[in-house]
Amino acid sequence: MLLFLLVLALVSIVILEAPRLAFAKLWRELAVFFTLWSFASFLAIAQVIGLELPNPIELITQLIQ
Amino acid sequence: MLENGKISPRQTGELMFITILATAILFVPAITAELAGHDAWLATLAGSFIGLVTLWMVTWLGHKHPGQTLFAYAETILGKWLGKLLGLAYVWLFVQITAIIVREFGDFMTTSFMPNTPLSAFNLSLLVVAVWAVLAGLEVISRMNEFLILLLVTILVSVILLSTPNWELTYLLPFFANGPLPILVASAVPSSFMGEIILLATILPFMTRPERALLAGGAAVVGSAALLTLAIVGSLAVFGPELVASFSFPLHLFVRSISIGQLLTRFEVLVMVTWVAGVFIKTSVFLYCASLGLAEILGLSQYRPVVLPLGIIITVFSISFFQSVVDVKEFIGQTFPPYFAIFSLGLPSLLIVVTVVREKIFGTTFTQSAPDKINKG
Repeated sequence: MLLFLLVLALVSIVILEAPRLAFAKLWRELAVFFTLWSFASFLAIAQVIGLELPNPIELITQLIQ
Repeated sequence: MLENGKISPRQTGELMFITILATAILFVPAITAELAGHDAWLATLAGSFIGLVTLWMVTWLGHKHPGQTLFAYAETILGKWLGKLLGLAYVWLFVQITAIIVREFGDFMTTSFMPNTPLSAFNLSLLVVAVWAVLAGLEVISRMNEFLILLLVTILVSVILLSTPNWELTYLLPFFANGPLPILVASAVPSSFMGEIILLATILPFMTRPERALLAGGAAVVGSAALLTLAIVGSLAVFGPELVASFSFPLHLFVRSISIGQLLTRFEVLVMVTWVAGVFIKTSVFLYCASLGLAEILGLSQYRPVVLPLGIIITVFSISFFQSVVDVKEFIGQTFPPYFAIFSLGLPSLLIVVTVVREKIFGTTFTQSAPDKINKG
């Protein structure tokens, strides 16, 4: 259920942004948007299905101490 | 230009004031009281000095490279690729701090007001509003802030004044009982909040009169340090240092202790109002700077396409970074100050040194090469 809502939200973000950029022929912006969007989607879905990813905060804590 | 809006020096100062104060007022009292005991309020004053040093460096760089943001002059100074790398480091820092702010907000709301609501509900709703504000632009955030600052300062000052009947000023005595060392150690925490004035490096070119940046930023640092000190003095004088250190959010309980003639009680809702408003502005400003920086580094014509994906990334980070509110407090108290000092003191001084060396030894002139579009806008 949560996963479904998440995918819905992610798709609606594409609908909000991508057509506008494509019509204005801003290809560079579109490419950046899709790269960032895929990264964000990967992170969000990994969080929802409970995939363990390295935590940057722990890395920083180890580096500092 | 990525941003067409302009804000006045006064608006800039107010924006920085709220940005520093919003989260500092909830987290700094407990952490400094833990490290410095009843001298915690002196640590805040010492910490604000670091903020002024950062401010001086930021304005020096801003005036040396007029019309350019931090991300633009990093490339001018260090060359294309090294400059982009440095810019990306700042974008990462801003994204990370936004995630931490949102997490602090969610933790405060769940521990103090709505313990049965999941954290993600608060984090997501705050970020939706912040993303909306960022899409609207810097001018809109500043004007919103002009209204909120009145609300916030009035409520905070009146709440602190109303608590004066409960004050036990002997809790603050004697000064410097353990020597200056604990104060200096504890001042690292407020100094990392004051160092957030580094955001001015991104906002400075969008001011109507950039030459007033030092004044606006100085007023923001001194003003927020004063109000923060007042809040710490208040909570120390009501609870004493041991009790303040043991709370997660002393200000909240401090306000709860106020009751005037059995009639005026439960002021903590007012604190929640100021907190939500302040954190909203703070999140928006950080998200704005992160989006603008990323768009500038990647050479985009507008920053809008990166805002929504960054919003999702920050939502996920705000949930996955920490396990509990104890982790947040520990990170802010121990790891964050030295880590943040790299960005607020280390990298700006590197940029200044390289600028001076290139000017004096290699004879590069920076000021003339800058675009003068900024004066026409």
